[in-house]
Amino acid sequence: MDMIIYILIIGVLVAGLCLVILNQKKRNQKLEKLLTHTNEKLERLQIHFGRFTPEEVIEHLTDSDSAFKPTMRPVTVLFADLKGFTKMCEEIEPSDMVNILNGYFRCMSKVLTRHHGQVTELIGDGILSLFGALRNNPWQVQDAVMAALDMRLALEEYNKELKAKSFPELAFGIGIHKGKVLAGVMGNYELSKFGVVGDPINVAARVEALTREHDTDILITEKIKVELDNRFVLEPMPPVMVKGKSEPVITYTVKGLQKNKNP
Amino acid sequence: MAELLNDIEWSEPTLSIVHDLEWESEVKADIGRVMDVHMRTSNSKWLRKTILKWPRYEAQEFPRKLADICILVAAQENACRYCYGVARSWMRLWGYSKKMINNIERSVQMAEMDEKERAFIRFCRNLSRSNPTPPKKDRDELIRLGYSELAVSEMAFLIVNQCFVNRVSTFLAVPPMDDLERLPNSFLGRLLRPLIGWKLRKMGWTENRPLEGDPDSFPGVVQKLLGLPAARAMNDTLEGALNSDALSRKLKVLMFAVVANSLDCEFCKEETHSMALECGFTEEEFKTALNTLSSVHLNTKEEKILSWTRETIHFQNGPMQSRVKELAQEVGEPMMLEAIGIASLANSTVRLAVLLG
Repeated sequence: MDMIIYILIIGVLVAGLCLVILNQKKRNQKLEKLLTHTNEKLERLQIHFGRFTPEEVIEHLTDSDSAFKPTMRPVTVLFADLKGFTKMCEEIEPSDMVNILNGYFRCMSKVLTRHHGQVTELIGDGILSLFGALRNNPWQVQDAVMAALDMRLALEEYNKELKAKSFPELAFGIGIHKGKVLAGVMGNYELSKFGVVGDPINVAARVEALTREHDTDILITEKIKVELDNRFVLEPMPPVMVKGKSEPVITYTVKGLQKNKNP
Repeated sequence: MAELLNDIEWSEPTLSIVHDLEWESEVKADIGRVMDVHMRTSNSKWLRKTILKWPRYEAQEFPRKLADICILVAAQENACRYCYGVARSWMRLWGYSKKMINNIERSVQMAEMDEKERAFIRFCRNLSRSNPTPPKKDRDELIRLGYSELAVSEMAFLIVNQCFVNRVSTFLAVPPMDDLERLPNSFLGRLLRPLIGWKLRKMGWTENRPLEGDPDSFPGVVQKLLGLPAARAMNDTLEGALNSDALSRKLKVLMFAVVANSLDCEFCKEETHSMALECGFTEEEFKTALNTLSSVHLNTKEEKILSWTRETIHFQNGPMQSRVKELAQEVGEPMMLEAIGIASLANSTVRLAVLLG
C-alpha cells in the first residue's frame, strides 16, 4: 500500500515537473517569437529611418551607447538653388510644381551621390550637399566640382522632359566652398537630427546667390580653385562684397573640363 | 546595416570563366573540386592562388570557433552573397545550430556568449566595415580580455583575408553555390553531416614554410605578422601581386596609395610614397597623380582603373557590379581581373595596417 502511495506521489511530482517544463518551454517560445518580431520591426525601422538620416549615422546610433557627437571636420559644401522659383510657383498648379520639384531633386540627388556627395538638406527648392562630412574624402573638392558639372548636364536632360510636357524649363545656380564645419547629431532629447553648422555653409549660399549677379550657373571660391588641377576651365569673376564678410569674395565660374588625353 | 542572406543585391557574373586545364587539375588535387571562382580568377596567377588558399587559412593562435564566426560575420558585413552563403552552409555542416547562426547574424542574444566572444564579434564587424577607420580600441579591448598580441594580429589577418575574398567575389559577382546552400537542410546532408563537416575541416590550409630573409626587407604590414604563418601568406601574395605584369607597377602603387589616402593610413601613405619614388615618379608627379587620379605615366585605361579604385572602399553591390561590367568592356577582362585583385588586396592590406601599423 505504502509503495503505491510512494509511486503515486512520485508520479504526481513527475507530472507536475513535466507541466512546469512544458509551460516554461511555451513561454520561451513566446519570448523568442516576440524577440524575432521586435528584431524585424527594428530592421524595418532602420530601413525607413535611412531615408531621413545618413546610414552611417544610424549605424553609429544603433551600434554604440554614445551619441553621434558633433565634430569639426573639413568639408566641401555645394549649395544649389533654382532661379525664378517663386515666380514659377505663382504660374503653375501646386500639384504640378511638386512633381517638377520632386523630379528635379531625384535627378540631382542621383548625380550628387554618384560623385560621393551626401544630400544633407532640401530647403524649399535648395539643395545642400556635403562632400567629406561622413567619411574621409581626399578628393572632396574635385568631386564637388565634377558633381556640379554633371548637374548641369542632368538639368539639360530634365529640361527636355519638362519641355515635352509643356512645362517651363528650370535654371539653377550653384555655389561651392570649402571649410571646417561642425557635423553630427544636434538638438535636444525630444527633437534632434543629423546636421551641419558653420560659416562655410553660409558662404556657399552667398556664393550661389552671386550666380545671378554674374549671370552664370556654377561659381566656386578661391579656396576651391587652389585645390583644383588644370583639367578644369575656370574664369575669374570680379570680387564682390557679400553680407557677413568684411572682405570682397573672389569667385570663379566653372566653364567645363579640358579634353581628355589620348588612350 | 548588415544585411541578411536573401536581402543582398547580386547581379550576373561580371567576368567570364576562363578554362586553364593545368590549373583546374591543381585545384582538384588540392580541394577535390573546381569551383566557379577558381575558373573566373584563373587568368591571374597570384590571384587564383590566393583565392584558393586564403579562405581555408587555419588560425593557430585563437580558438577555431572564433575563426568560424569570423568567416560568417565578415561575409555578412561585406554583403558578399556568395561568401555569405558558403559560410552559412559550412557553419551548419560543422555542427553549429541554425539558432546560433541567426543570433550572430542579427547580433542578438549575445548574452549567451562570453565577453571574449562578444568582443571578438565586435572587432570582426568593425574591421570588416572600416567605416569609420578600424578602431584600435577594439584591438586593445581584446588584449585586455586576455588574448596575446600575436593572437589579435592573427585575428586581424583572418578578417582582412576574408574581406579580400569577399571583395573579389563581389566584384566578380560569383554565382551563389546553390547545391552547397541546400545541403545542410537536405536529408543526405543531415545524415552525413559529421562526415561532410570532417571532410571540410580537412580542407583547411596553413602556411608551413617559414618566411626567410631579413625582416627589415619585408613590407611593413608583413613585419607586423612575423611569428605567424600569415606573414608568409601575406608576403607571397603582395610579392605576386606587385610583380605580376598584367598592370604596370606604377598603376598598382597608385592604387595602393589611393586606398591608403582614403582610409587615412599614415603608415601606408609613407610606404606607397617611397614605392612610388622607387618606381620612377617624381615627388610632384606622385602628388598630382593622387590629387587628380590621373598621371602622365598612365594611359586612359589605367586612369579609369585608378578612378574606380577609390570606389572599392565603400560600395553597394548593384552599382559596383554594373560598374565592373562597364569597365571590363572598356579595359578588357584580363586587365579588369587584375585590377579587381589589386584593389581588393589594397583594401585588405591598408585595413590591416591601420590596425597594426
